Amino acid sequence: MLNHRRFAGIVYSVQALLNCSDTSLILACHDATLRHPLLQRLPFYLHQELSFFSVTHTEYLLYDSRIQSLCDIVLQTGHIWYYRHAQRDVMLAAPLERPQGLLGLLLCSRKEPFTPGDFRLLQQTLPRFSQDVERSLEELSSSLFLSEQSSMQDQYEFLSLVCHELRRPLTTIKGYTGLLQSCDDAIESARRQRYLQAILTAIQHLEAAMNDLFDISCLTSGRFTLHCQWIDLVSLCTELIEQEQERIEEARPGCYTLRLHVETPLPPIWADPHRVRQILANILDNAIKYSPQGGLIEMLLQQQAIPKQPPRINITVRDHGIGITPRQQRTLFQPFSRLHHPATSQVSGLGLGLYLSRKLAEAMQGQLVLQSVEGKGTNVTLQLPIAPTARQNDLPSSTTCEIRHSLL
Amino acid sequence: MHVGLLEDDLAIQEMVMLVLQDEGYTVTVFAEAEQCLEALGVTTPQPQVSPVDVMIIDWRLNGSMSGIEVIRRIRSCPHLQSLPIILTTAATFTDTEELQNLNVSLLEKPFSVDEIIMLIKQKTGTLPSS
Repeated sequence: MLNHRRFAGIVYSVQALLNCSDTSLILACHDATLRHPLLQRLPFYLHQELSFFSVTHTEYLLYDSRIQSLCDIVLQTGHIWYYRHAQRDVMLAAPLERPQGLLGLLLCSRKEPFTPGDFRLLQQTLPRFSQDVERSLEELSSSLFLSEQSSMQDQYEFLSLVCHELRRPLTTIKGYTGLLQSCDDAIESARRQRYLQAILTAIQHLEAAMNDLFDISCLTSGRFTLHCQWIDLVSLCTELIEQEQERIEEARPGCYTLRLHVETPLPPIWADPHRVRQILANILDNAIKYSPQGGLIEMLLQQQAIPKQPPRINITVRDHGIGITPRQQRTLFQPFSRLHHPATSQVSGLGLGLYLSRKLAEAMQGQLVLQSVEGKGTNVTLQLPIAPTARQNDLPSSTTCEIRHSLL
Repeated sequence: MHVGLLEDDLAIQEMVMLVLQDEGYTVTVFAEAEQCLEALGVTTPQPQVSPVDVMIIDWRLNGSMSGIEVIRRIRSCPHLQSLPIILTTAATFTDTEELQNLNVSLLEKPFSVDEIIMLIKQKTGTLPSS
């Protein structure tokens, strides 16, 4: 089932807000550099079907060269524009913009000219409409993903993979429990402790795998909630680096040096600290995995300002390890991509780490970007917006009633 | 009795080693397929007799070869054609025909201490096969 109703709801809200004779929602952006990644993820056939929602406008409207130019100007400038036809209605177009890119635009027409009050009103509510559109597209793309994945074969293979990953730690637990059972009471306590520790470690692996699976199921079913608060990234990263250093030192003493670099004092950010930690811990683990010879692993924190985009903080984890081939890079962020790999190229784990990390970053309106050169090392950057845009997340998603009130 | 173990999951490797040592077996552990093939004289022509009495091999290995491929290469050597081999796997195995052709016993994870000991005894003839 496609979620068309939500898009229609957005169109009707704008219609009521500006008292238009007609309103359309166009989910398209011809400029690939400005386009929101969600638009790219939708299959082409759906894209066509989805791209135009209207009360009474028809798609022929878009064949008018003046309307085309209006749309192009709006998408290129990121501002609201309008034009007045001598005999016809006034046409207004407004961009639907999110930190990740353009989702398309709203096209409104009415007999009376738009007033400065109308512009203000639209300007104030536009971010909310954009957010609604983004959320609907997200739900759509995840439901599509699920339906694509739900063919019986893939379900079977996915479950086999899950079973496989759960059986490994279970083997350890079963074995050591057997050893403890068959031991007589005279077993030295150091030995008993070692067995118990091995059981505990296996249980931790099981827990981590189950948590990943649960997160994925929440994210794909749209039941995922963030617990955002103001966080000081420097202290979060310092703590994480210290813990990881301690952990890796136990496993492979003297092999790795983890170092944190902070460029300038950074403002606090509005994000979910538990999820930020989860993403960064995953990236650090990968950096260690891809530096089998040991060495330096750096974490760099810097603020980045890009014109027309909310300020953000970049956290880059850099290793100098073996790097990742372009072929591997293509499938790295795909969920369950391991399903289609031959058994021999298996790495332990479900292979959901990077997919999950990217999903979590996107849920916080951020991104996860990977750059790697084979033989030289890998940079993975988590980009997170600083507070203001992120706070929109906390606003209620239904808009219609409030907008009507503000009109009165 | 000398048991060879090819397993790259360190926790399982150590566990199986302890179990077998407790039973009085001598255990040689291999973490990589290449290392194992070299020791068995598959890639190096030196030993003409098997250095181990039984081999335990994990199906899914991190390197360039799967457990099945390792077994195929072992079986291609005349001096290893009758070596008892146990293949461990955490996956649900569907293609058992190939295993029969390779004369391999399958042991599914998670296995118990008793199961692995019993299977080794069966394969090496120290326990009558049932």
